[in-house]
Amino acid sequence: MIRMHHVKKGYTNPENGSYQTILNIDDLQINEGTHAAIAGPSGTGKTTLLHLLSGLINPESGTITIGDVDITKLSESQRDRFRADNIGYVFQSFNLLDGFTALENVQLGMMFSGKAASKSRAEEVLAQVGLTDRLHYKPSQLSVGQQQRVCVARALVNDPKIILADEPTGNLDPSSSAEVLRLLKNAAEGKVLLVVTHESDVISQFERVLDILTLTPSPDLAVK
Amino acid sequence: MNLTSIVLKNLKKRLLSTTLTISSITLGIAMVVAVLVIQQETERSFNQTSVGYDLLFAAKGSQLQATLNTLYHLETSVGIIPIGVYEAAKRDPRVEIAFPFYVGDSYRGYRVVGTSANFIEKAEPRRGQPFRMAEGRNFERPLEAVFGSEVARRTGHKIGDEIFITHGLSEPAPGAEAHVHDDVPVIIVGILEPSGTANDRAIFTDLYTTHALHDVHLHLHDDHHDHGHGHEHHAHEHSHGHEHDTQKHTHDHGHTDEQHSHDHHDHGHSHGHHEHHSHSHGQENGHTHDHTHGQAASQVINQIELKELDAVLVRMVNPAAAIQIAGMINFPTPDNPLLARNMMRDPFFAYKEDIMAVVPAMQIRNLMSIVGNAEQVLRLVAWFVVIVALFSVLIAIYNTMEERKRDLAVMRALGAKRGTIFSIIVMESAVICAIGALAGLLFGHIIVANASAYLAEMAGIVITAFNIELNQILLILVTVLAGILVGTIPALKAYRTDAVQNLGSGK
Repeated sequence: MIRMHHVKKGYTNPENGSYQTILNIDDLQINEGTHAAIAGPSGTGKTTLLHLLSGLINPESGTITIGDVDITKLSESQRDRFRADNIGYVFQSFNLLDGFTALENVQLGMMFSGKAASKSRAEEVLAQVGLTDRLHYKPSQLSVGQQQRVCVARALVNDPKIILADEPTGNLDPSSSAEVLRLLKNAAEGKVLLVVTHESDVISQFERVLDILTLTPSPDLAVK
Repeated sequence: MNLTSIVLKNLKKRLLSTTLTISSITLGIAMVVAVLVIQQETERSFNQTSVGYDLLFAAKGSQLQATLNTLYHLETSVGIIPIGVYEAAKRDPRVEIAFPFYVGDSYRGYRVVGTSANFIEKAEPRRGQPFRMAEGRNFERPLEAVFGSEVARRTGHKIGDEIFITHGLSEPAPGAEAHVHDDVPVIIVGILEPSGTANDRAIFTDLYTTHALHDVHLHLHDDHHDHGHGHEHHAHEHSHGHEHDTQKHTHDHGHTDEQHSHDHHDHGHSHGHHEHHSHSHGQENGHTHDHTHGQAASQVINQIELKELDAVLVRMVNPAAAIQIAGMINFPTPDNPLLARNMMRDPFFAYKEDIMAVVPAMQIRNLMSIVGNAEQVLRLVAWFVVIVALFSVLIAIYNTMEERKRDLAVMRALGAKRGTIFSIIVMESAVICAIGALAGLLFGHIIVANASAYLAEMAGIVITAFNIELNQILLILVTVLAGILVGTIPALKAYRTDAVQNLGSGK
């Protein structure tokens, strides 16, 4: 499903101009239906890995193949479209748009894909995350747990093949955290779900874990 | 949910800033529209009225004043000319038609114009558009009047109402008494359709009537008007200050009067059916008139001698001849004796000491070029306001870019292309400018509508508001295009926004 081959990504320190490698993946394969946690301390490239997989950034070298598409060969706008159609993104800080209702935020997730921003589909996924009675609430009128559920619904609305979640429970209390993880795992059945986290509680809920620091894979995640 | 709804939501989110920027565009466009429409309509109003006539004969003085007085019912008359000028014009084969004018009286501030009946029948207040009667008929004899549409609307008078005309052009000063011709009742026989010209604000009557109003010796009373016509009339009480019941009187016109070019019975002379309205022109002493208009008209014709006019307006068979006549009248000293001999034979030459010849269109062109300079300055100021407003749009949107980086990054993460982000910002600017421009167009016309009453009052210029023309549509489009252009600057900043750096996540 996903293969990262000889992928190298770093950044140039603006202060001294030195180049610093963040990720150097020789070969990583993630099979269809894999649910895994990506663990490791802050600043070790977990989020960068998600950005690479989503096509938001391109590596300096190497290939990233999703299905049969090498996304590193796509133009930026082609990657944007690929992301809209195939990737669902859940953020730690929810990143809901303030002026938009829960329903509109979810519809926004459909706007940039090839599908029409169907209201009924948005309502359906919001029902899936238990927010039928909060469709027209703005983010400021929702609890943090509800906001994250809207974010989950937005990630699911296009029925993506891959769901990337960056610290999705980072801002939640334990019960909301458990609820969001349950929703994500249920919704991602048969899809790839990669959850970046440094929380042991979250890691413990995944059978497969990739330690970003050592790049030591658990079964089904093969890093060479 | 589509791009437009995102744009509108973004604008709504910053309602105060959006309202202020829209208002600034509205103000600028309203100014441009108002200047544009007023200038355009004024020019059109002046030109359309002046193009129908080739030459104007008036007493020596200001040519512009004579033009404004005769064609636009503005200013005062430059003076009196002999009626022979009109007679000469009527006989001259070079003249297609001539209209006499005798002015100087008014009714409730509206000017009374003494002219010939064919002015209403044959003149064109606007090019190709003759006068049209909305109600009633043209005046056919003395003491009958035709009201311009605006006069009728403002005074509320109807066909059959009697009015008493005031000598002079304006309402008297407070405390002063108007010189009202209370012995010369004039009956309204027709109301004109709106022509969109100064004529809408004038009252037309025949030359006898206006001469009669100037003749202090004229008396239209029973004891004076027994002229042996054998009229048998039933006197009716005409008490001013209250409404009359319907009255009837009959006429027995068994006479033939040479001065009457018409039969009184033929034009519905049925004053008995008139409903006399109360008049608020100082005639509240309840005095009584015993008269009929038929008899009064006869008296006017018998007692009044037409001697003078204020102006004669002429349409030539060949308009080029107008320039030649104007040259001869205004500069009658050619060195060439042959030309001098030809001049001597010209019927107008005999009046060269009394009159000047004016080409109205030329006067209006000169006037417009003077007014045009002031209008140019106003228009520049208005455009300057629009440009400042466009800058305010630019600054308002640009300043929001910093706080909107996260939203833009989220949209990019959801799959929005950089071009889509660029479009959203440009659309915001365009929508602000479009709403502002449309509101400005509306507001500008509201200004024009309010100004039109004032302009009509002060200058006799009838301006039609809410007459949206192509140049105004173009103005809206140019403003929206300018909005798009201005929007590209913050849009480029949005375009360059780094999604990864602004998503609020760590590395």
